[in-house]
Amino acid sequence: MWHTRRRALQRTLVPFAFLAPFLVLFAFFLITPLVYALRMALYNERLVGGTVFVGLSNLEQAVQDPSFYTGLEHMALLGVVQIPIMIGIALLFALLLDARAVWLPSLFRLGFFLPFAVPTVVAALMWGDLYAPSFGPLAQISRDLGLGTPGFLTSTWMLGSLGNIVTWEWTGYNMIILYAALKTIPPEIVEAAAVDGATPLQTALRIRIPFIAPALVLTVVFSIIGTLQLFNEPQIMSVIAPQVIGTSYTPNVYVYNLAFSSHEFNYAAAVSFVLGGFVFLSSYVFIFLTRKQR
Amino acid sequence: MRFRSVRRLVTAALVVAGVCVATVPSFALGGQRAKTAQAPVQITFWSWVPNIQNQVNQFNASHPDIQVNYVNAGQGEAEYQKLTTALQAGSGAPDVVQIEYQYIPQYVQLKGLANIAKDIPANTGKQFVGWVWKQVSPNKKTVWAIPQDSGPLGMLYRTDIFKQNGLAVPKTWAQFATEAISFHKANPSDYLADFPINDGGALFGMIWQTGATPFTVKGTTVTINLTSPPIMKWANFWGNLIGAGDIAAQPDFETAWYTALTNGTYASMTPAAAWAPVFLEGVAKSTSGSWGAALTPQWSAKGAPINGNWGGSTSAVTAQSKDPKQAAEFADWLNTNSQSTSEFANTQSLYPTLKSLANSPSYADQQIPFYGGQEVNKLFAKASTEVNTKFVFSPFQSEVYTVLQDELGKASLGQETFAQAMKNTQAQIVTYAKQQGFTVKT
Amino acid sequence: MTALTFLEQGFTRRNRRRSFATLFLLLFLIYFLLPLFWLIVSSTKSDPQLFSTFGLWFAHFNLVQNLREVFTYDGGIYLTWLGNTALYAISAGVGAALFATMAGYAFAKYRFRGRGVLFAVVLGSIMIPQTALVIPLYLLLSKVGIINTPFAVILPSLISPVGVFLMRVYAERAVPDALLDAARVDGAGEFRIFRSVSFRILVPGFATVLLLSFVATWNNYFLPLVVLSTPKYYPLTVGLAQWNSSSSAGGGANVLFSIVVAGSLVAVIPVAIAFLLLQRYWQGGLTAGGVK
Repeated sequence: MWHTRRRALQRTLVPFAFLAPFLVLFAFFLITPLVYALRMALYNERLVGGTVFVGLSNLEQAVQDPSFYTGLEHMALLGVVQIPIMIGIALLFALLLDARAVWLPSLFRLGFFLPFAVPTVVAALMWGDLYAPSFGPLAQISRDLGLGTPGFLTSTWMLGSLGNIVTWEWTGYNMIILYAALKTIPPEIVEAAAVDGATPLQTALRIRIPFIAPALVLTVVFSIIGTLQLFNEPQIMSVIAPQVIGTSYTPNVYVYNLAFSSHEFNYAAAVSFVLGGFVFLSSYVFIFLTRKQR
Repeated sequence: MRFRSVRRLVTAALVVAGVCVATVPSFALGGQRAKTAQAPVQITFWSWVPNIQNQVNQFNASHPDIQVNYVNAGQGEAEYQKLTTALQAGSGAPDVVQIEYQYIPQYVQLKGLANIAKDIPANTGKQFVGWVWKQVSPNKKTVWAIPQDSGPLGMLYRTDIFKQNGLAVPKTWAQFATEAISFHKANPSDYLADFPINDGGALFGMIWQTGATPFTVKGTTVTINLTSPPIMKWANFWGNLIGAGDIAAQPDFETAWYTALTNGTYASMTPAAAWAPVFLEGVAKSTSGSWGAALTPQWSAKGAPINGNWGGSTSAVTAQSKDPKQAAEFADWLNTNSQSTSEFANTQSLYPTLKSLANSPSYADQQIPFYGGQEVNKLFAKASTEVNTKFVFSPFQSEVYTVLQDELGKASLGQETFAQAMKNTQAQIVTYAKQQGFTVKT
Repeated sequence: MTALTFLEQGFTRRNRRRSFATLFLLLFLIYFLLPLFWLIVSSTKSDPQLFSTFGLWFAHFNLVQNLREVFTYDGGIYLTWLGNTALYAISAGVGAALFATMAGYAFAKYRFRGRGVLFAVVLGSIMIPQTALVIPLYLLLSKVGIINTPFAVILPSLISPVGVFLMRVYAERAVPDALLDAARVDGAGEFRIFRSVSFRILVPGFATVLLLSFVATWNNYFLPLVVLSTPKYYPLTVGLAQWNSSSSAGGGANVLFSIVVAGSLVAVIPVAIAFLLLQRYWQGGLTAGGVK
């Protein structure tokens, strides 16, 4: 009797033993700071007059902050255009590579994935130099072709230029995830379709893409999260084009400036919670919509 | 075979994790070594001046009771971000920190700096140029930092390009504008100068030079006036030139800016500061001999000339320092010791703030080949005497810069006038200051 | 029409189609490799040439000089940064992959109270913007006394919620319950089963998470920027950014662009090599491997 009870207890403890190392670190380095940040958002520390409890008023202000929504709009626009392009290309690559439809698949996989090895800081600096209107090679080529100097860093094109950097960095990564998912399709299914006379395009549309729908959703959700939290790239571009990338170009840039330029740490914490809310909302809405369709 | 390698992997992982956890305490204790009678006082010092380790070594050698540990915690923004975080968290700040003049009131307001008036010799202030000392010591009882270098404004220009285009060195801004327009007309892809749209320090140096006092601070009462006539005149002046495309409006210290400065796209560096001559020598080596230095153009042809300042740093003792006396002793020694300061001036290219050094023949009389043998240091010694002493920075200067850059950025893109940009900046800063609990006057 | 000619026709048509697709991907490959080509070309140039010559072709070959400067500037601190980066990336990569594997396995193969909620919290955490946590994390690390030490970078990097997610999915598919039950019937303890049965199956997933965490830590900028202030602890990203900004120091400014470019190239190479060496795992994919 005593033995079996001990056994049962052990049984329930086993999963937690496996989880322990992760959970301890998780609680300490993520949850604790998070709780602290939440507490910060409930107070206001001013340059004159010290700290006062303000309850939810920081959050209320953040929800109505036009500067925050400027950034959010930028990122929403970027996301709506860039994510489908990036995931579309990644999917196309994954399908072509998985179907053995190209020569030298290894080369392509490595080549497309390689930008992922470049730190975002370096990537943004590199593209910044490539975009430069005076000495940038792209501008030089364009001028030699008689097309004039392209305005990569102007307010009209900046969002596109940022989108290009993000696409360059992350397409290969998404391709690998989708490619891995494609590999799990049992070969019998695809073969059966071929025997039935389905063209490669039909197989791709009717069998292979539906099969990896969960992985597709995953990549899109990761991309939504990444886009809404964009920081390094605009921050580095702001050094080159300060007129275009102001202090609230993206929500995270805004949070950063609130904390380190305005010294409004409490309000910065509140804005980042509102941002977190929007990230959650958009991911959830996307998952919900795609679930309904399936 | 495979099984073994897996097990090795797991073992390795566990060892790594174990080592991590096991070594934490020893690291954690590293900073809190018990002080014994003989052990020297440990002082941490943040600075981004190249090779400042030399001075630190000299200090450590001559002061056995104090051990200064030098750390390059990053240049400008990067260092301030760390300092701000450390102050906010209540620990982690160094004992002595490099701070530019423009941010001293701000860090005082954040309660980050220690008043070292009682920890330094009484005659320290008298050794420095008057306006410089006023920036670190608002009154006799308060000293927030020891000045290290300064940057009174001036102008650096390409003598060869000026000659080719028949330009004279402008004495007034009106003359500067006429020349800027005619020069750009004759050389459509070149500009007489660049207006550093992103550089709060440079912009405020120019505002300083108008003779305006945008801020006055008395306790928690702050007077904000960013729309006074001289400032509006300044904004409209540059706004018109930029709007007409006669002057460039690119961020400074960026690759495109370096390129333009080196290849003659910009015929001058206006504004320039006293540290700029040596800086330019380093970045535009290929144009040696074809540069000249001049005093800043004036807003009024009559009356005493007025100048402003751009850049320059100090050594401040932080409020977190456990040994402020020793920290102050080091800050004072670093910036008043004759060997240390002459090295700053001559090998680290910092423009001196000590009266004795700035005017000493061995420094002021140097004929610099890059500037065709001109006595550039003498020129800037004169520029330094003309700096407006009434100007003070606000206790929230980084916010002012952020707002100003946003607004001027919009103005440079033609979305609003420069005058409107100043009005908007004024309104936003007033709101901010009120929110932060200041009593605001305009 | 014989079967043979039919086959031949099909073969050549397939070949033609394949060549066309290859050409198509080749265009994209140029796009993806162009910036890297620029990096290689630029690292062979001296400072004045960097901005005065055409960016996508070689000028005077200055690579050796640049590399020498990279490794000797500032007392050769670049090597220290390289070593730090390797230490942080390897320890965080191995640790994060191991902990994520264990956690993902627990989520996949055990039913316990609070499983759903716990997993949702772990996954939800990736939605928190990092900027929100900077000040609290700094405060925490300084309270524990590890601020400005390597642990301030390594310990937080050991958490990989995405890794837990991937490993859960992988373990659900790759480790059959029947196998575990069989091992239990044989009297093996749960940990022994994990060590000697499950982990072997999970190795490809483990390697993939290892690679992802390794790269994430190698390329991390924000965390080390905030928690480290002593250059001898910097990783490459923070060190290179510091060199890059030293050109705007005004008084005493140093223009180091060519060193920064060459240093960036050197920083990318180890990760590229890791990609090549671990190809078998990540190209095989998370779900394709397993022990057969």
